[in-house]
Amino acid sequence: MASPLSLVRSVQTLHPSALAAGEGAGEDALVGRARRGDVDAFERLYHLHAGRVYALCLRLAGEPAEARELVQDTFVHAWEALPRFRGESSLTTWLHRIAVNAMLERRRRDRRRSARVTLVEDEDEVESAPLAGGFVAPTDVATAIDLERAIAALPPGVRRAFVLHEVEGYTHEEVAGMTGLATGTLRAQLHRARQLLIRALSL
Amino acid sequence: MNEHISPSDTKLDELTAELPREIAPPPELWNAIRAELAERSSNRWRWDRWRLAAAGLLIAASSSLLTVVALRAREHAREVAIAPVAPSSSAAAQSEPRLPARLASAEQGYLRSAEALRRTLDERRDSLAPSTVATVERSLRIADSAIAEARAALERDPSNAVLAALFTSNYERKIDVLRRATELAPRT
Amino acid sequence: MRGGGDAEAQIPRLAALARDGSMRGGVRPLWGLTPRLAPCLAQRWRLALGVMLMSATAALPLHAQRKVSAGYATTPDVSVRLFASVGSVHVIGWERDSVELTGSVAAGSKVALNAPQAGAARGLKMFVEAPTEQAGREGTLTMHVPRGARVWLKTGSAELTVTDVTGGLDLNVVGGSITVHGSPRELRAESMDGAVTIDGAPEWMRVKTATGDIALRGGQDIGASTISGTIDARGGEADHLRLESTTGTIRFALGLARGATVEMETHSGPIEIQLSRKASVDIDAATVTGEIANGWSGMKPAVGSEGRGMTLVSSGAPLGSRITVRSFKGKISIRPI
Repeated sequence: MASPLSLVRSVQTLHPSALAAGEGAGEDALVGRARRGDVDAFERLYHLHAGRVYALCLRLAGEPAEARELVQDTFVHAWEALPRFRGESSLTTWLHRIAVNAMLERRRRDRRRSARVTLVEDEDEVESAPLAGGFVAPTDVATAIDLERAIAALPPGVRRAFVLHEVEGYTHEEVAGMTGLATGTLRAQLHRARQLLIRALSL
Repeated sequence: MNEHISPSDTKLDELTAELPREIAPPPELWNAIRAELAERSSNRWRWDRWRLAAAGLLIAASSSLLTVVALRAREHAREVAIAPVAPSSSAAAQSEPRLPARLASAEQGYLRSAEALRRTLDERRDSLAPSTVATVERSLRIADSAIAEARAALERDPSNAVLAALFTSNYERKIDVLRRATELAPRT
Repeated sequence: MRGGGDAEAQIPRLAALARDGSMRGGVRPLWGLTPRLAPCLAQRWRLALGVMLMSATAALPLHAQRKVSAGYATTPDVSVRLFASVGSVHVIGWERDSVELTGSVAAGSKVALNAPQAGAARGLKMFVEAPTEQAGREGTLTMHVPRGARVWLKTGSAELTVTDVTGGLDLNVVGGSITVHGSPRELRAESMDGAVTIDGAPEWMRVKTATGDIALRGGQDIGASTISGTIDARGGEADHLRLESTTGTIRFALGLARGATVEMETHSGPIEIQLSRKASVDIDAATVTGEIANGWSGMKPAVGSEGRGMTLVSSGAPLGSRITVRSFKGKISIRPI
């Protein structure tokens, strides 16, 4: 049985028009219709994928307000880029790539330093930085919450690498392609992320 | 290949694997996306119209007129497809009082979450101080009362964005109290 | 009152007074003054002695105490985690790269202090659990940490005070209270019915209570949420601020940074806003059924459609701040400072 935390966090974004499992091939039809300007079809695609996209954006951004804006940017860009979607990857992966690009674009534009992250300005900095005190608590629920908080407190570049590789399961090559990083740098960031999280959670 | 062999790494992998892969976004987010799509489409339609009209005038009067007419018909169809659907007052009056579909589905999510957290809290209630239990129960009653009031108002006025935001905020605060209460109580 | 020694010294003298009605040093015997009053006065002294004895014993711990003293060399940005069932905890930031924990806890408490065997610690975990909740209330701890430390602290019903920590704070109490002096870079404080007072301007802060009151002085990115407690925001400046309650009162009297965004939301609690008449601010206030009263500017709130609720939308400060207020039925009032 799923833990209460996972039920809190993983509420399904079911929409009355969402496709049932047996209608998988219908997603192609929805994409086709959305390409031709059918917003209702695009809305159904949104409801099918918003949960996965929001989870990624929330962990990349580290806080809900920016995550909402990222999701909005992602789906607006997706609507415009849909004619160029060739189906070479899953729609989720394609949306995730757009989300990561949106995130990187935001970081380039955003001058305001997020106080929640760290004092490190350079997003690719992998050296030691103060880390939020996420701690092991007596219950599994609190531990999972602490992990979310600890992830949110990682330096942006390190966090991005960890979320894409360890949480979302993309390979090193896929993450490198999404972020534009060399795989060597990516591996260093992942190692750093694990160090910081293990320390923060006192594992 | 698992490069990480320390117990700490293994534990981190276990915790990471348990993280949910889907998290419900705020229910009003689709409205914002739809509104932005409509605005962009409107801007694009205006820009395209002038550009194409200018191009048509350079070629020939008659052919450019036909081009403009054909393009206007297609762009109008696109604008109609993207424009937000505004519920007509007559439709709203005729339909049975109910929440907008997005809020209804969000509410189902909140109810499932609250139920699961409540079950956990009930299992661990004995490990909480009575005063804490009283505080939690009082807060939940207040939250439920507010949710019920907002819900009733939303059923009468389903397109009210202020109401929708207040409705979901009340649920968010309720879920937060339940979550924090379960964190207080160690697993028995 | 923790003057156990003083109280004990007084008791023998008072006992002697009750016994023979006299004190050394030339005080006239009471019974010598008014023989008829002497028994009453003697009885009064016995009553006074009884009260003093009770006070003295109340000041003494009911449970035996055990001293705690530990110190560790740490990095300046050490992560410190303390779970303690005690009556009070005071965390103090200092210039040293070390953590020092001192105090007294109830005898029989489980105390675990995990630290590395050698070298400066980057993470410390400390755990103090009293045998009973009542015994725990008598415990008191003081922890000195490097100013840049990140501190996670979870207690039951302790009075929790933090002073001069500029790193990060994650504070959790059930009852008791949380008081933070200073401006940490990051602060998260959660309480059920304990009051939370933030005497500083954190860069980032999220405070949540169920019924506990919240007092804050602004900051850069601030969020405060309660079900029925009061939120009082005054004495500082807001940059990005969100205050929300279900039935609790929200009072806002902060200055506004240039371009500040302030959001306030309630179901039925009153929202009381005080603004300088010179403030350059756009206001967007709306209720579903509640009232809006504007004594700050000349703009009159408009009644909502169908005669329910009110709105007040003022614009004209494109580079100014923005205040958005939403209420179901709580009254929104705006008046000048």
